[in-house]
Amino acid sequence: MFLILNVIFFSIMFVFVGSVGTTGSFIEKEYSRKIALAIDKFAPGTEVSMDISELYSYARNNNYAGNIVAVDYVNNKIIVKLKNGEGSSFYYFTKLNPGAVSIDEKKMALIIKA
Amino acid sequence: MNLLINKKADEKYLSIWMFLIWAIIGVSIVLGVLMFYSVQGDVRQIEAQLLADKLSSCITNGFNYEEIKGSNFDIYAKCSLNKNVFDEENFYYFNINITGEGNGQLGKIILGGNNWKTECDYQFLKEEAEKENKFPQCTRQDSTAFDSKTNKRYIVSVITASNQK
Repeated sequence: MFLILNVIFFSIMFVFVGSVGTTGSFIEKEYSRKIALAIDKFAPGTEVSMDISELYSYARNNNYAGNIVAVDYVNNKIIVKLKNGEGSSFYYFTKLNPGAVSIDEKKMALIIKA
Repeated sequence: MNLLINKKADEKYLSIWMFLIWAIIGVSIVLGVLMFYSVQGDVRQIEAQLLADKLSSCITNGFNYEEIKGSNFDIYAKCSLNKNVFDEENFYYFNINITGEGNGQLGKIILGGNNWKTECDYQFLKEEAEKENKFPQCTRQDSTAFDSKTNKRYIVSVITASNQK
């Protein structure tokens, strides 16, 4: 009994440690930061393509069909959502023209025109 | 082999202490993992560096001291920055100090965002490992600019900070 309970406890811990970094909320947080930093990094006139196929697969697993990546051009905020709810948002400081960030759904890529 | 003769396996009672030890181990692992991921998600130093790079390059490229010195000089328009984020959100700070090379004569100071000068000066005195995590993360970048109209050199010192977690 003691051994069985120990094995169950440590299995739960292993599964937790292995899965926590790949949960939807961590991925939302990671990508909102990545996209905001990419916008701030590149010089005006640069066009960048970022692979977001990982976001599509998470959204599909969560049966989420809404906007995965949204940009609030007024408040300078990137919002990444992989399920219904608030998602994760992150501010950027560069002034972007409306429509500068778009999604190529066929290639599952985010196009940023800095 | 003699040691194993007449030995029987023993099963201890599952005491409250055992569950307490599991709880301590479990909470420690959960806290450790969450702390690890929160540190990984801290990009304040990178953001501060990106802001410093942007300000420094946009001021030194085609440097024109007369333009910068003018009262209607707009750093936000010049460097493609969104003024609202700097004025309304408590996330960013910058301090640009322009001095004449050699004579050290103060030219112009341009400020933006929150005033975190004290916090940044304190951080610069500390070693990397001793940095205060609760303070905004700061970076400093000095570069030389050449004004082709007046043939004068200037030192552009940029201090930036980010506190967006």
